[in-house]
Amino acid sequence: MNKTIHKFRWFWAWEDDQEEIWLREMSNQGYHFKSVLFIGLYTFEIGEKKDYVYRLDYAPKRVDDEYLNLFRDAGWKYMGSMNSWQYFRKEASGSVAPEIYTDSESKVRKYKRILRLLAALMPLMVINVVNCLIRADEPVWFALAMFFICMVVLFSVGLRKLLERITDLKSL
Amino acid sequence: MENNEIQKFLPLSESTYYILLSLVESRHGYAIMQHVETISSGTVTIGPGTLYGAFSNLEKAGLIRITGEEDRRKYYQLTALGKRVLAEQIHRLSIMADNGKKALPDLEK
Repeated sequence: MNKTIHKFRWFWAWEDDQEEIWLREMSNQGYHFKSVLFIGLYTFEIGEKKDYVYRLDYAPKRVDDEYLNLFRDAGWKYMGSMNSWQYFRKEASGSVAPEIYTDSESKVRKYKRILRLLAALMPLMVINVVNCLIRADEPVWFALAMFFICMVVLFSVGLRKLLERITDLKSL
Repeated sequence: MENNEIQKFLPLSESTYYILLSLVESRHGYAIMQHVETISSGTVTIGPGTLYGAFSNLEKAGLIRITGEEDRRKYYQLTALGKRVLAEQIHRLSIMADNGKKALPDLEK
């Protein structure tokens, strides 16, 4: 059993690039990604310093053997998943970092999948806000209303950030 | 009518073009990645995320079909429609290349 360390770090769904960079930096220091819980608790295995490149795929459908074999055959080690995020790693070789998405069209489709989820949940959040506000003279419902308003704001930020990413990729 | 059916897929992206080109023969994912890397002299790389998405899109569009499965790897090949789309793309590309050569006749690389 290798020694492990834990670290808290929060990334939003539209910050997958930053998360990939951070995981690579951790590996460069000898802390290799092992797992992550949805609350942002990362477990790292302590080992030799390595230049591992990490890539995150968003796959809302159940990942099947065909999917995993394709990544494995291409030299990617499957590191596990968190919600619908699939974590892959490959040792860097040469000057260009390896990619799992090699053109902007397919990268756009990845962000559209996340976008679709947020867009589907958004009406539910709005309904929650309305429902809670109707009863807002009671403190519990008022607090819940505030919570759901925060969610709506957060989702709006997410939708905007994802749309920005997609526009950037399309203008390449 | 029939022409429209083909036109809506064009122009193909560079990766889609090379994926379809590889599927003139029945191949599985990794064989496609290797084949594309070889025939493009390393100018085009296809990542597994891109390829997995392409499989489902191209299959849904009816351009490729599954021909078999071995060791939990699916084999794909062009359909008749896929072949017609690819042929039309090649036709367009040769016109493009010819025009380019005419515009820059002393282009030697």
